[in-house]
Amino acid sequence: MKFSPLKISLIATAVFGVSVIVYATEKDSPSSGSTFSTTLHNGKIVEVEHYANGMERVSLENMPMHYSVLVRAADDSRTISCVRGDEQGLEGIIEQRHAAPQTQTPVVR
Amino acid sequence: MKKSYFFLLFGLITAQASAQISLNYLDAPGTGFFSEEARTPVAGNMGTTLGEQRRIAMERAVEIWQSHLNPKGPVVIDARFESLPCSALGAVIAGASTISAFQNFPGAPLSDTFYGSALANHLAEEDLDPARSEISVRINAEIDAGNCVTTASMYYGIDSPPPTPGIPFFFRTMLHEIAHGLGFSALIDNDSGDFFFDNPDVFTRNMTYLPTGESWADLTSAERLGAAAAGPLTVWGGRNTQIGSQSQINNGDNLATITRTSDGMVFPAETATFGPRVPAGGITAEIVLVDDGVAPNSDGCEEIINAADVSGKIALIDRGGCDFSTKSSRAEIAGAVAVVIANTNPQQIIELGGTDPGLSIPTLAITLANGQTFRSLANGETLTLLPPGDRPGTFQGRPFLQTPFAFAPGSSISHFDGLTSTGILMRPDSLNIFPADTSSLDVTLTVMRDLGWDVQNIPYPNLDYALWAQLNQASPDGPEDDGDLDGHTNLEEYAFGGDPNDVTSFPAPPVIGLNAGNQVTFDYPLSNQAVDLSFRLLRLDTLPDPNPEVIPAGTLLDGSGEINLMRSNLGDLDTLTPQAFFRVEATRQ
Repeated sequence: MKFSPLKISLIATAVFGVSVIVYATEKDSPSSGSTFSTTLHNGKIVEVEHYANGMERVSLENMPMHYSVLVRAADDSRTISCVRGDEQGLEGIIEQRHAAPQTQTPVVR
Repeated sequence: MKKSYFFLLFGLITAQASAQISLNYLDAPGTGFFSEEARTPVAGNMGTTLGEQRRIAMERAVEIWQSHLNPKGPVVIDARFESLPCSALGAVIAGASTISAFQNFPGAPLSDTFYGSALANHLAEEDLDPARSEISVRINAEIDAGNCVTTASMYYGIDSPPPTPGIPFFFRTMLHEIAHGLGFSALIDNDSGDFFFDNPDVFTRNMTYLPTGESWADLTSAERLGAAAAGPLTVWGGRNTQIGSQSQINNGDNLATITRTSDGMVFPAETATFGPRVPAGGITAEIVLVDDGVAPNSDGCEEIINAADVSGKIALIDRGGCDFSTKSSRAEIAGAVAVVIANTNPQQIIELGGTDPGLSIPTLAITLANGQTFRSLANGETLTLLPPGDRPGTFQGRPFLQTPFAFAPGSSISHFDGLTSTGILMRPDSLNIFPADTSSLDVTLTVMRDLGWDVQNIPYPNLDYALWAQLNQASPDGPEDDGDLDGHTNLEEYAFGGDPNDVTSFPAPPVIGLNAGNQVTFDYPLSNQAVDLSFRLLRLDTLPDPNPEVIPAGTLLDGSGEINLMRSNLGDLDTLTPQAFFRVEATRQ
């Protein structure tokens, strides 16, 4: 399909030595003062740090962590996949996947 | 004096130096990354001790991420070998996470949105929390010690994968896990569906639930939990990935989709191995349950007796009783334009095997649950069947994320679904299946760009205006239209960069700078993908100027992105006239 030539443009004006655009940014320093608290959120211990500039830092007791897990199936074959969990639950995940290996797609082959 | 002021100002414009991703090994001397156990070099890893091989593989993984992400803030990775769960049934290989998350920091693109430490530092261009590292990586020391399963050791080669898939590939595992720490991770609570700490994270914001078209950030906690176990109905909605995935995901998968006209609800489907595929334009028609007169009447194994109803429609047939291809043949004889076969399992789609070279209508498989939904549709309800297209594993260019029907413990939405190409780094099973290029970061890079990393070297595909308008859902979609009323036409946003549906997104203005040797340069944005546009820079002495000077094409500052900066040299500052006008012109062929 052929289109008629169509021209569009951006126009910039440069006036040398007369005017300029000044970009001035001054960041609030995160270290300019903060309040730190430890609290319980959804059953987990949370570190929360509020900064004077409105920034907030949050660390959970157990940040959502991904683990690569090697599982030996009943036929002695091995699969490796990445799961999310905390360390306490990983052995259960391995046992479950050993008993019933998961496929990643919903397709029955 | 004013001139020197000009000098001074532009002298302040300096390139931001790239920060480093660095490793902080936490192991004691003689252990973990410092093990002195003798080893033979393997596949590109020339280390001669176990510790040296571990460090070489780990540092290679970090080096690859460094080269692509160009971090502007420090990223320190705490890495250690330690005892993690292992038994005769299996073992944890390694894990990674961000150490903290930040919101509302200086430079944050989105307010009230959490970013992992590494990404937050990059966006803020400083170390937001100097007291802490950004990423934690833990590796199981028990595997190489031979204390779990029967694997003698991890594989520390780099250039080629392990000889058998069941051996942990340390280098590839590190590439994958570090990606989670760099931001490829939804921070929502897997058990409750709640946000990380009352606000969404940037990864979650980019997840799109197809049935409603909403971001996961706009769903309720209960809706997020449901979507996590809804099957492949959630895609990565980031725009860079939508465009970039065209050349990144391609494996000939049989995925198709069915859209209900009345509400746009999307249902996953699988194309049969027999018969033609759904044509490129799709098939839109009413769906009708077949009746073959013999119980069970809806299995389509005998001659269809409600052919008058079925003719010109999509035939809905139940699994069982005869070959799949026999059902499709019966439907074709009755005049159906396509066949949808419902499984007997509520939550699984079965692959429809068989052969029938004479069949001229396509056949798709769906779940029993969706078959029941279609069975109950009122008269006149229509469906649209869409083909897999050339980007399987995606919907409209957006890769599916892992949302299995059964959200088992450990399932993670922070991965691409198994429908995407094998070997893609961020599939959950990618550590078992490797690409030929073991350093490949594939479509994962465009996700990183969507998240906010300054990703370079993405092989973006070519675009023309029509494809751009389609991908960006421009509405109205004409080149002269301005649907978002930002004062820039669709064509301007296509040529120079901008979102046609966002009034705050439009082409960046050109920038004039002074460089080494007193040279004045002119930087302007242009589409690096548009194959139907040509660009040129004109210098005008007055407005209008009937005889503008054409400035020779300059240098593309970044030749890999979607929109890039072209830098043209205007000449020596002392030789330039006091005033000039510049016009960047894009011409569509």
